[in-house]
Formats: sequence, structure tokens, C-alpha cells
Amino acid sequence: MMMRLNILIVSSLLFLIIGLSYSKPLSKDYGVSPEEIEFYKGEKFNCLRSNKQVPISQVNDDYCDCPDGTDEPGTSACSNGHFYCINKGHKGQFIASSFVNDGVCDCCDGSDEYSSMMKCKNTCNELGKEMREKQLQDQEKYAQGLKKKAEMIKDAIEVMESKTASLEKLRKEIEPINQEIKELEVLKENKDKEKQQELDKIKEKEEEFKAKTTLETTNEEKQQQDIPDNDVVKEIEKELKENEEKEQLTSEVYDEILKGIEQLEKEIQTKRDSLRDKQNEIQKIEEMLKMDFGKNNVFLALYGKCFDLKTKEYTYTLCPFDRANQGGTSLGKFEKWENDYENMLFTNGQQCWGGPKRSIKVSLECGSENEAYDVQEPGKCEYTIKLKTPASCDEEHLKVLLLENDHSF
Amino acid sequence: MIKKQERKSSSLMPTFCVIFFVFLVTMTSLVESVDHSKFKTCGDSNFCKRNRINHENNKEGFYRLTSIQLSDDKHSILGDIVQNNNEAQPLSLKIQVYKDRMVRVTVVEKNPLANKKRYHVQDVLLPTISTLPLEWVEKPNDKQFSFTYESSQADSQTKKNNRVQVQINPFVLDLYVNGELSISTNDKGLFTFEHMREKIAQIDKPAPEEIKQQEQVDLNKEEGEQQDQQQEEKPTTNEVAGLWEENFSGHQDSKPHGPMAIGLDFTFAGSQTIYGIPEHSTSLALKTTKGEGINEQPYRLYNLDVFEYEIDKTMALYGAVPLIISHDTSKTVALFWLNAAETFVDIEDVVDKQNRKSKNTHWISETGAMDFFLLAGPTPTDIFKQYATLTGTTALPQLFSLGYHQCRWNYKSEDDVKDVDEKFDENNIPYDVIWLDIEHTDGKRYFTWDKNNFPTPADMQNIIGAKQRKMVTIVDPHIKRDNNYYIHSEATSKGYYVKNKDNNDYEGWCWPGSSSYLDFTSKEVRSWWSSNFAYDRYKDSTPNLYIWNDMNEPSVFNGPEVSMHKDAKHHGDVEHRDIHNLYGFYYHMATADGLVQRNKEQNDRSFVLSRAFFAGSQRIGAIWTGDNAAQWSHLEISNPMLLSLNLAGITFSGADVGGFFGNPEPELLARWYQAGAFQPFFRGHAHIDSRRREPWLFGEPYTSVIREAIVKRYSYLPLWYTTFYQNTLTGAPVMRPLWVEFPKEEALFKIDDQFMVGDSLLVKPVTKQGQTTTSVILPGKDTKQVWYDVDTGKQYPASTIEVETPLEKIPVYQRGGSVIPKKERIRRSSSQMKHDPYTIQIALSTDQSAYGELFVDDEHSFAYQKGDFIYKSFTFKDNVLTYKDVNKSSSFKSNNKIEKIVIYGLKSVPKTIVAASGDRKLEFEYDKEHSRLIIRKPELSIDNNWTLSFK
Repeated sequence: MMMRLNILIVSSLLFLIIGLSYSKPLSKDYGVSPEEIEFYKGEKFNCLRSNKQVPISQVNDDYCDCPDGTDEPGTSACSNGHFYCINKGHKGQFIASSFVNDGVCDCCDGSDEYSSMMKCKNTCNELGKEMREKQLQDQEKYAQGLKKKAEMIKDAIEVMESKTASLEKLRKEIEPINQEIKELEVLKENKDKEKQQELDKIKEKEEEFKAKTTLETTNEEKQQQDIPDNDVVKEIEKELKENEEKEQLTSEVYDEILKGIEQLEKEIQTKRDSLRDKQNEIQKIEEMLKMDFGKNNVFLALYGKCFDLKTKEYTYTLCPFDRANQGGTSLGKFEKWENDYENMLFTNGQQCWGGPKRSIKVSLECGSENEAYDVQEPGKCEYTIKLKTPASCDEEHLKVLLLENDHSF
Repeated sequence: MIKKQERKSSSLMPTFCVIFFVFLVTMTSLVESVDHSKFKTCGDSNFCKRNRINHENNKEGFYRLTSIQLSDDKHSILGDIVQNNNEAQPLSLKIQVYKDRMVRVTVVEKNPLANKKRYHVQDVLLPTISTLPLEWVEKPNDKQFSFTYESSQADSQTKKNNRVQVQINPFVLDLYVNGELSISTNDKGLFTFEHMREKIAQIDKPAPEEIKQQEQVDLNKEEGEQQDQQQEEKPTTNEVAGLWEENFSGHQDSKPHGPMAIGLDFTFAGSQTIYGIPEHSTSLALKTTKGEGINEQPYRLYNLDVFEYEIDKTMALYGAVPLIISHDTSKTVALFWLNAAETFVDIEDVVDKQNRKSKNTHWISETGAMDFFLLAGPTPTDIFKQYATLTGTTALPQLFSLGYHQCRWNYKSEDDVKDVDEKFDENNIPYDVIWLDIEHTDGKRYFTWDKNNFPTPADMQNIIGAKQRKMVTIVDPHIKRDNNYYIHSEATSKGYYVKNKDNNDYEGWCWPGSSSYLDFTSKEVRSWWSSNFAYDRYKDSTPNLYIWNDMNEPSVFNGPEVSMHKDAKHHGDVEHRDIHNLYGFYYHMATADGLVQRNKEQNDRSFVLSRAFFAGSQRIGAIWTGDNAAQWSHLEISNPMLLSLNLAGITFSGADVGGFFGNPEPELLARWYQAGAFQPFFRGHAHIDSRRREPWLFGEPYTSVIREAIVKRYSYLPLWYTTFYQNTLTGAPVMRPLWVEFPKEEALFKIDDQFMVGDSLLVKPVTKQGQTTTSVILPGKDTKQVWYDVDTGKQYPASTIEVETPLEKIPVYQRGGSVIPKKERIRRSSSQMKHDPYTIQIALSTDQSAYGELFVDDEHSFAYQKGDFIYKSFTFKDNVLTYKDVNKSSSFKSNNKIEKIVIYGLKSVPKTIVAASGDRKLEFEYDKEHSRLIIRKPELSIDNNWTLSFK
């Protein structure tokens, strides 16, 4: 750390001297990053990434000698070279050699514009401050996000556990219900039999009754033979008889049986419904458990949720793991993750007029809350949307942020 | 951009009004190629049909000269021409000789009708052209006469060899070049002149049955059955149909003036190949359209917005230059047919009077005066000079416009623009201009901004401008008929619109919906239009903003052939049919003038890209080949199309890189960038329905390949700029067919898949998918020409070589004997390179010599026209490299230095290289790997003369 700081100070001093009067030759290490500065000392310079040696006098002399462009770190002579801005107060940065003295202030310390007409203000302190503030915000955001993420993971564990438990429970419940249904069905079968027996009894009675009345009717029939519409008459008679039968059938016993059957049927139906519900539930849970919710199932928190984004013209609805819509137009169904959980791809949406089927790519990024924003249509009917979510915050990134902040202070 | 008819309201875009949408749907053909039913063939254009077919059986009698006299000033031969069977209607003939070996012939009615007039093309010829006094070679007798087109200083044999020989009966006009018959006018006797006539009342409107009958008759005629022609005084209904009224594809042309067509044939005697008459999507060498066993449509010149045009068709496209160039091993000659009406050109293989293989071209125009120039060459260089004398050279482009242009229909918002701009930097790819298509406007009202997506347009331009980049916005000639739109209300109240046949403002559909079209043929309208580009009129425009003119054929979605009705009326009661091919030219002119006038000093050269064009458009600005497609065949055809344009003077031209319609595969896109990098106008463009295709979107190796192509373009910008300057002196094309540089090599005459940039770089773009090797013709065997691969320095003798073409390879060769100025430092934009040092790339000939030029000025103003420039040459000869003024001394001051001199082909490595001024010894090294000598930091200035001695 100490050494680096020394180099920074030395380089900044050099910059000041050079920056003031650019007609003087550039120092040999102008535009060199601290990591490589040691290579720019001595009488000879070995091109860093190609096999050539030049006298040190040819380094930063505004003529490109090395095929890799490393002999001109501080000038624009090599079109494949790089220039390092020290940016004291902010953070160091490589820019393309072509940006050196091109009239655009690329480095916040202005070190890239030492001989153009452009007078660059040193904005590193302000930018550095802004950056640090932003980094703090980012840190904050990350920290919050990570907190939420931890909760999400915890929730996910709970959810997964409870889901697994319910699955088990449900699976266990299935057999008893099946058993109960079976039992009920046996009961019902018995009742059906009883019903049949009772019916048979009634039929017997009926036969007796019929036999008694046959003689009478035969006589009547004989009388009525001349009547042309005897079919109709027969029908009427039949109906009358059946009504009589029914009157006879509505015996109390029979009614009891029927009620019993009805009751059993109801019970069976209820059980079956319950069975189906449970099976559906099982299927749903199984499907869910098959889904890829990322490491620690962190993205489970987005499952079953939908996020709306209103623009001037449309309301976009994004339901992770399910679907995306632009108003009533389908932008696709969830197909897969891409780029290590950075993107969700929804495809096979509504056919575009003269174009492809609509699709949308969701870019997930760390945020303290779940929020969809910035919907775009970069290609015809190919959409992009961003989704902030704590689920996308990661510890490593926060570490990097913290490290960067350490550096910039 | 009829392209755009395919559009549907994109889901993020505001929905179009229902009517427009329905209209679009009805306009759309879902097939992926041109809808032929929309565009006329010769058979659909009555004047072409009757003249092309009837002449097969010419019974009308030949035309003959009846009187000859010299004008008082002795600069013109005046004569009368009559048709053998129509002596009552004489024609006036005028023949003039112009400086620089050109002959002009004009024919009009001797006794025109009071209520009709023949249109003479205005504003195309330069006012500076001048005639010479006529000098007889053989004075007129009853058979013939001849005169020379040489200047009076020439000796009598030269005058005799270079003469025009006119035969009296039938009228034939023969141009001799160096004693050789070169162009024979009316050789086949196809002279036609439909004398203006009054409409005869009783046969005013033939009944529909009669039309039908007539069509049948005509069909019969096409099959070869002969018809007895009758005298015009007693026309039959058969003859009249189509003369006074004509229908096509649901559109009626009222034709109030009746038939006024003209026609004439020209035999290019001894011609091996003919070129020119752009714009067609065909080979550079024009194909035969007529003759035994050939049944092609004639080449058509009628500016049209053709949706999804096809390859290898003679159908008309967006622009027209009626110039045909004939070339054979002994001479180059040309014909310039000065007519802006619909024109068809048939080409036939014939034999001339001396039984030599020749090319006959038959020209038929619907209206207008007969007015043409014969250009006597005799070399390609002479032809370019002669044609440039007539119609001008290319306006010297601002240097930035030779860089790379990034366009798309559409960059949607300021954020989008900013993002694309930044991505170029992130990927370290230079570009100069970002373009905004029609969606940037408020409802297609040009000169306005869509304030939702472009709330701070001036800031946006300034952000771009800070990197010394520019912006281009589109401004089209159709004006939205909205009374709250200031352009429309002013144009209406001032009466500036084109009128329909009933004298009301002409209305048609275009992007904004109902639109009217400004009458740019009027000087007053043009001047008013120009004033609209003033910074206070065009709100939020800044000096970084330049303009794109599209749809100026003009495109009228619901008009005949997607264009304007021919009976529409322009300034001075001129019918649209007379000026059709000039409309886009005038529009382009008015816009470009506006950009010059908007600056107080009026000292900034304009940049305006136009789709429509005519002869002379080169003086105004750049041209592109319209709405091509993302197909290999369209990449391939871009070379012949641009070569044709270049031959016809339109040198600052390009094709949309990547192809406008559709989605190029990355390989096609990369190859297209490689080709575009060596074509004069270099712009990537894409249709709104196509996927994004900015250079970095396809990953490696494509991003690097595209970057390298663009970087190459930038490194050669000094060559491009110098070559464009040379064009202002010579008229020579910037992108050249090989035969122009090697006119005696017959094998090159039809080559159009490779070309030269200026006279020093030979380019063979790869235009085929998966092509891993290609053969390259390196010409000049007879002169022991050598060539150097610019990537490896490898030397090749003139021959046909087979080269490997992996994706990153662009086969480019520097001609031995040439010196090319380059700038090898790459910047964000060309303007940022202004102060960067030069690299001089010398490729020696076998005799160890080389020559090349460098032009430098302020890169943007008209100061060069007052001599404020550097124009110097590099000559390597006898081991001395000399840098000195080409002609007069240069006044421009520049601090730019030469940082490097690279010499290929040196036979012996010198011991020392000494700069004569002060005997300074220069540092140099010999790079064996590339067989080149490199002078390191010679610190030579470009505004002083100097010499280097190699010892």
C-alpha cells in the first residue's frame, strides 16, 4: 500500500510538470499503470507483449515501434495501445491510446489531453466523491439487498421445507382418502343391493296386483278392440299403472335406502374432490420443486409473483417463471435462465406482424426491493426489461465494492 | 423508403391511425420481392410500346434534311428535318460544337403549337459550357457535309479525322474519332418525332370495347403481324388509344397534350462494351435487350421508389443519368441524352457500316426536346473530363462525410443515440455521423422533433459534437397536410405546391398520411425551402446537423407506380411527365443550398444524402442505392451499381452496409463492412423491422473484423480525400472499373467484382458466403505492372492470383508506381484526426519509381476554391523522393508532419537517407518480413517542399 501511494504521488508530480509544458519530452512512464511502471526503467525497453527491444529513448517519443503498442503508453502513436489515467481522488483507468489528445477529456484528471486544444478540468475529486457516495449507496443497497436475500433464502428454506412437508403430508393423505372412498363405495354397493332387493319386492307385489287386474282389463280390451286409437289408450293405461306402481314403491324403506345412497354418493364425491385437489396440489408442488430457483432457491421469492410496469402506452406485466405481457399481448412464456441467473428468457409470445413471435429477456440485478423497470424493444418484437431484486445481490460483489471504497479513500 | 410500407406500428411506438394502417396493409406485398404489377414495362407505357414495336416495321418513312445553313455567329448549323411522308410538319435541327470535343444536336418542332411546348431540361448543364465556331471539313452538298469538332488550332488532318459527317437523306449523323467511325446517329433509322397535335374531338374517348380491340391489335403486332400505318391527319381509333389517355394499375393519366414522344438510335461502331445509364441493379457492362433470341425489357430511366428491388433487372430505380459510355481497345466515346422524361433504352448487338461488331442503342423518351451530346473521347479520361465539363464534378465532400456513418430506422431516443455513441467508444470503433430516420419527427412533420423521445435535440447534437462527430436528420419532400404545421400553412398560402391536373394542390399519401409536394422546379420555392434550414427556422438544429433527403423520386404511396401523376403541374405549366427525373435533383439542390446559407459566412460545405438523382446531382451531394436487402446477392451487386454511378459522374455514392431489409448473418455483415470500407459513401443502415446490428452486437471475431474494416477506411482517408479533390479537376470516378486504368486490356472490360480506388488501390471485396479463397485479377502485364498486398507487402507481378480470404482478409493491392498518403492513428472520428501526422506508403514500380498526390485543406469550407489548400505530389525517381507542388504553390498552412514513410519494392537497401534541407540523416529500418523500408519520424512537413536522397 505504501509503495503504491508513493508511486501515485510521484506520478502525479510528473503529470503536473508535463501537463504544464507539453513541449518537453514526455517521461518514459507517462500513461503507464502502477503495475507496469517498473518495466519502463533502464536503457532498453522490451515491448511488453511482443518480441522487440528498443532504446528507452524511443519510449513515449510519439512514434509507434512496438507491434503491441506498449512503447507509447503516453501518446496516441500506437492505435492498439492503452493509456493509464491515474485519476487521483477517483480511480485509475485505462483508455485507448486513440483517446489521448483527441480533444475529449476522458480522464478525470485531464492527463489524456496534455497537448490538444482542450483544457480539461480536474474533476477527480468531485467524481471520486460522487463515486464514493454512489458506492456507499450501492453498498447500502447491496447490504439491504443481501439482508433481504438472506431472508429470502430463509423463507425459501422454510417454503421448500413446508412444501416438501406438505407434499409428504399430501402424499400420505392420499391413501387414506382412497381407502375411505373404497369403503364408501362398498357401502354404496351394499345400499344399491338393498335398493334392488326392495325394488324386487315391490315388483313382486306389482305382479300380484297385475294378475288380479288382468281379467278385468282383458274384458275391457275386448270391448275396445274396435277403437282405432288403442295404442294411445294403452299408453295412457301404462302411465296410469306406473303411477300406481310408484305410489306403491314410495314405501318408507325404499325412501330410506335412496336417501342413504344419495348421502354416500355425496360423501364419495367430496372425497374424490378432496383427492383431486390434493393431487393437483402435489403436482403443483412437484412442478415447483423441479424448477430452478438458483443457488439456495433464492429466486423462489419471485415465484408466483407478478410485477407491473406502466409506460406511456402500455402496462407490462412480468410474472417470473410464468409469463410476460404487454397489456393483453403475450410477450412469451418462461423458457429458461441464461448467463448464470442473470437473465430470464420468455419466448413464444404472440406472433408479430411480419416478424418473429414476441419474446422478452429479463435482466436481473441487485436491488433492495423487487421492481421491474426500463422496458425496451431493441429489435422488432424482441423486448428487454430489467428486474431489480434482492435475490440478485451477491456477497462477492459487495466485497468488491467495499474494496473499491477502501482504495478510493 | 417504400421499404417502410411494410412497417406496422411497432409495439413500443405510438399506434398509427387506423386509416393509415389499413392503407399500409393494402400497400404491402408480403412476398419478399418487388411487386412487378406495380411497375410498368415498355409494353405498359404506351409511348414505348408504340415506338419500340412499331419500329420493327418502320413504314413511316425516313427523316431527311431539307435545308442547311450556318447561324450568323457561325457557332451553329441550322437545318430543317422532314419525314418523307409528312412534309407539312418540319422540325428544326441545330448542331453545335462544344469545347473539349463535344457535339450537341437539338431537334424541336419548327412550328410548335401555341398552346403546347416541349420542355428543355434546365439547370443540369453548367452555365460555363461554350461552343466553338463551326469549321467545315466538307461543305454541304445535296448528299452530305462534314465539320470538325477539333479546335481551330488543330492541323487539317486532325480536323478531318475528328469530324462529324452528316448524310442528308436519310438523316444520319456520324461521329469520327481519329478517322474511325465511332457513333452513328440514326444508323437504323429509328428517328421518331411525334409532332405535337390537337386532340380531335370525335375520337376523344374511345369506348372501352375499342380500347380492348386496340390492345388485341397491338398484341397481334407484337407477334409480328403487320399493320398499315395511316397518316396522322386521319387517325383511327386504333392509333388513338393510349395517345390521349392511358390507364395503368388503376391510375388514369389524362395526357392533355397527347403524344409527343421522341426516339433515336445510335450505333457505337466497333464498341466492345457499353456502360452507364444508371440506376439499375445490373452488371457494369450493359446487357443486350433486343435482337435475335433476346427478349429483355429495355433499360428504363424513370425515378421510382421500388419496394424490395431485385437483382439483375433493367427496371427503373431511384435515379437516372442518361449517359452511355462505349469502350473498345481503340477508343472511348459517350452519348449524353439530355431528357428528364420517362425514357427507355434498348441495346442490340449489330454490325456497323464496316461490318464490325458494334452496339446499337435505341432511346425513346415520352416527351421533351430532342437534345443530345456526342462526346468524342477518345480515352476514358477524356470522357470523364468532357462529361464533367457539361454537368460538373463532384462537390468536394467535407472530410467527415468520407468516414463511417451509423444509421438505423430508427434510433429511438436521445438515450438510444447516446448509448450507441458510447458503445462506439467502448469498442474503440471510429465513426463520424449518427443518423435519425423519420421517427425522430413530430408526426412526420420534418424540421420538428418528437419531444417525448428527443426532448433536448440541441444538447444531443452538442454531446455528439464534443467528440467532433455529426448528426444527420431526415427531411423528405412530402409535407403533411396539417394546417397547424408551419411548413404546410406557408407552402399553401404561398402556392408552393405542385398542382394536380385540375389546378388544385396535389395530394398524395406518404409517411405523414395525406401530403402535398413542394414544387422544387421553381426557383422561388427552392429558395424558400433553403431558408427553412436557417437555425432559427429549423428549431434545435445546430451546425453539427446535416441532412438526408429520401423519397424524392418523388414517392407517392397511392400514386401511379408509387410516384406522382404525370399530369400533375409544375411551375410555368410544365407537366410532371416532362420533369419527373429532375424532381429529386432539384429537391436535393434546394436542401444543400439551405445548409450553405444557414451559416453567416456561407463557408461550410453542405452534406446532403439523396436517394433520387439525375445528371448533375454529383455537384450537390451524396447518393445511395436505396433500399437493398441483407442478402449476399445485394452485397455483390453493390459493386457494379456503384461503378455504374461512378462512371456517370455520381462518384460520392454507396450502398447500405448490411442491407436495408432483413437480418444479415454476421459473416455477411462483416464482409459488407469490408466492401463498404472501400466504396465511396460508407453507411450502415437497417430497416425498422430488422434486428439491431451495430458493429459490436455479434461478438468475436465479427466485432474485430468490422472494427478492422472501419479502421482501414479511416487510415486511407487522405487517399479518399485527395482522390475526391482530383475528381474536381478531372471528373474521373473515385471508384473505378479496372478498364478505366487499363483501357487496352479487353479481358477487364466486363470485370465488376473488383475495382480501383483512384488510380492506386485495387480492391476485390469478398461477396460470397464461406469464401475461403478468391481469384484476383492484377492487370498490366504488358507494362510489367507489379502489385503489393497492403497487408503483407508481398509483391505480385500482373497476373491472376488465387488468394486466401479468411474472414478478416480484404484483398487490397497497391499498384506499383504509386504513392498513397495515409493516417494510421485512429481516433473517434475523422475530424479528430485533423492534426495527426501522415504515413506515406510508397509502392515502387519495376523501374523503381512512384508517383502520388496529397490534397489538404481545412476539410470543411469553401476556402479551397480560393486556393487555400495544399496540393502536392510525391515522386520517387532515381533514388530521390521529391515532394513539391503539383502546379501552383500551395498557400494552406499546416502543422501536420509526416511520421513515417514506408517503401515497398526497393531493390537495394540504401546506406543513408538524407533530407536535402540541412543534410539531416534520417533514421530508417528495413523490415525483412514485409520487404519494406520504413523511415522513422522523418519530421517532414506537408506544407513545404522537400527532397530525400537515398544513397
